Amino acid sequence: MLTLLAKLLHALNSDSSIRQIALAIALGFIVGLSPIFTLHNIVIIFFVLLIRVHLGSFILAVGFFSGLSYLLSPAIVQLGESLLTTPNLTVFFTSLYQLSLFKLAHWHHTYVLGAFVLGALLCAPIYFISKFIIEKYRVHIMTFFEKFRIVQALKASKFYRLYTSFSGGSSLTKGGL
Amino acid sequence: MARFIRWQGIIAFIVLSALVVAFLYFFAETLVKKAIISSAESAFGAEVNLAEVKFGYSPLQVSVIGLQVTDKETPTQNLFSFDRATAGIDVWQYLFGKIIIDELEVSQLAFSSVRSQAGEVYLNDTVNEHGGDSLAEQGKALLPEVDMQLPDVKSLLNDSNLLTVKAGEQLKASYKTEQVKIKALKGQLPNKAKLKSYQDKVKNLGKMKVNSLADIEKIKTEFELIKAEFKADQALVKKAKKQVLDSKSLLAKQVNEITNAPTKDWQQIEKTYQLESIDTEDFAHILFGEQAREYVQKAKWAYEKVSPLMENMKGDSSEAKEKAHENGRFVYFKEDTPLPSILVKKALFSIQLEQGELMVTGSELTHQHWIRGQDSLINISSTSNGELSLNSNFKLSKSGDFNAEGEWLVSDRSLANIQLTKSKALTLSLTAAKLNGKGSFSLMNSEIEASNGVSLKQASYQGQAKSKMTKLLLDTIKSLDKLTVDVAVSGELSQPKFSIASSLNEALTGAFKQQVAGKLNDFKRKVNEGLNEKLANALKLGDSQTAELLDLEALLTDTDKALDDLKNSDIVKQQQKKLEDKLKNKAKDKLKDKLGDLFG
Repeated sequence: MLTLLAKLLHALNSDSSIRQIALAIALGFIVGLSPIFTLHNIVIIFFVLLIRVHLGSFILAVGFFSGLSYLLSPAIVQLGESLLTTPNLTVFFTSLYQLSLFKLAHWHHTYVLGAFVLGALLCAPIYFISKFIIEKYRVHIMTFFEKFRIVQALKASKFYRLYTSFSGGSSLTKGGL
Repeated sequence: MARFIRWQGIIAFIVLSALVVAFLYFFAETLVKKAIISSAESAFGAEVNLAEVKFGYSPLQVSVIGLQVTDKETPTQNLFSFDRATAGIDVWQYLFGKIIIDELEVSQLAFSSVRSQAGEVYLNDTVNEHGGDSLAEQGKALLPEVDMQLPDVKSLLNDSNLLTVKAGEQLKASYKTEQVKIKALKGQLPNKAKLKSYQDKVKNLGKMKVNSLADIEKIKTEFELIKAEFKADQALVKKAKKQVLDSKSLLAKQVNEITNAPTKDWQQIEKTYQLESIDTEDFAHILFGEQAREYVQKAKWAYEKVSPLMENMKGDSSEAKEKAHENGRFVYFKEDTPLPSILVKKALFSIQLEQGELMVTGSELTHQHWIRGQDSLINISSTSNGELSLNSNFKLSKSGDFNAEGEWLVSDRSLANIQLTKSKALTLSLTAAKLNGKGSFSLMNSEIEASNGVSLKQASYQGQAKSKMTKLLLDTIKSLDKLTVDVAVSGELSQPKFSIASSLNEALTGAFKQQVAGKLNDFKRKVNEGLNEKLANALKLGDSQTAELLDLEALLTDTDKALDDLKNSDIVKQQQKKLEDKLKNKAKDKLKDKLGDLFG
């Protein structure tokens, strides 16, 4: 866990593309909301591995949003329930239901559909918010925190040594943690 | 392109997928085994042992081997156990969220088998399912009561609810009320002295000397005054007469009621204590009703276990809705070849019972029969001891209505050592017999309708009886070689009505009825004597009161007549006539004097 956290901090502080990290968080959001072994999650994981997104950020995002999904589950189920049982959408879902892929993806399950729709709707805003925050972090927050004594103390800790092992000591010169 | 794609990611994906598949392949059986044990233990509340779970992958097949579920009521026994259960699952449908089992086979299913060591019990139901006496227990309890059904004559006659007693009390109360009313009127009535004074007054008016019309006028006025008094008194007499008549008719009505009361009381006693129904049919109920009730209890138990399960599966129960709200649910849409969410296309159970092996086959086992439009079928058969077969089908409609019907047949089945009843008054068991029978049943929601007929041939019995009646019963049964019992069950499953007819009735009729009749006649005589005594006492009181009323009536008639006579007295006319005569005589004398003077 510490390693993953160190990787994320390294990514935030390093030259890793802001878009790669933001995309990893947005995709991690979709995967985190749904049960892990659903068809759309497997497809997303495949693309996460294939496309150059930051894996550490993705794994942490999945962990974080999985926890969040427990709190959101009533709303997720409610969303799926209302979509699947709305009379106006019955014809639409009935035609989709004839496709094996639809059933295989369990999109006729209230939780899975609710999570997927919520994830798909909110992944774009989350991408842009994440991007904005990381940019701000790199410009302002990182240098602001540098001034604190506690940060100086942390630099002497085991975690910092781990962190530097990933960054290869370059962070010091780059004004990292 | 390489800026966005990392091709080694594909290898990572394949490796990851392979790891997941390998994990499932190696650990699925252990995981499923643990899941079965933990869910079964939480469902049955006692230790569950499972030897092994095996997966076959082509086609997907799950085998559960050596399952034993401890009976939490008797931990040294299993609630049920089986050697092997194999289910062939349709993988494709499973991936779509449905459990479709093409074939389910359970072998060596046994109930109440002895465990090698007592199982642990995790939870006990706080609610005792057998809180009240079971129907069978109630049936047993009836038997010793048969001798005690005739109530104590003394306490019966002291029962204030008896009509004879009630009517007697009412008659007594009415006498009192009427007496008070009449007494009040009696005080106002003119007595003999008053009547005498009236007569004297009238007499005196007659004796008065009349010399002029003014005297006549005076007599007339005085007589009118006395007449007014007569009239007032006559009105009182009339009122009293009416009261006497009312009282007479009320008392006559009540006397009539009390006269009929003993007959009505006896009818009520017969009804209350079911004296009329103390006949052989009760014994058929007691002996065979117990067995019938046990079968219905089993059906009720099964229905109570299955119906909430079906309700849950339908997703209509509040618990299921709550669960669906937390975890979500599958929503199914129309498709060309619809399938229920759970379906066992074919099932085969081999059950080990003390009486031999039973084969149970089932098909279309589901809780959503309307989807494929087919009923679930269950057939039970055994040929190890005579022939036994049961064919039944059931279905649950979309609106939640449960319908089941079936037929059963038993032929040449040997029975041995079956206890029919065990109570203080009678212990009876069937030592050996050949059983034949057939029947049918239908269940609509919780309404049962069943008719069954069995016959026992070459039967031998053993038992002990303590009371006279049960001894008679035991002897009669022992003397029977063939016995038929017809049991009809109807009504709500929780409170079914039994109608049991048996050839035992005919066999018992002569001997038993004779005994009962003697006892019953003696009882009837004593009760009727007591009731008649009560009646006589009440009527005795009635006689004296009636005589009193008659005396009063005669007195009133006399008084009325006397007053009438006085009222109609022609005393004024008499005095007028007297005056006229006097004046006539006077005129005559004057004329005589004048003529004497003239003719000298």
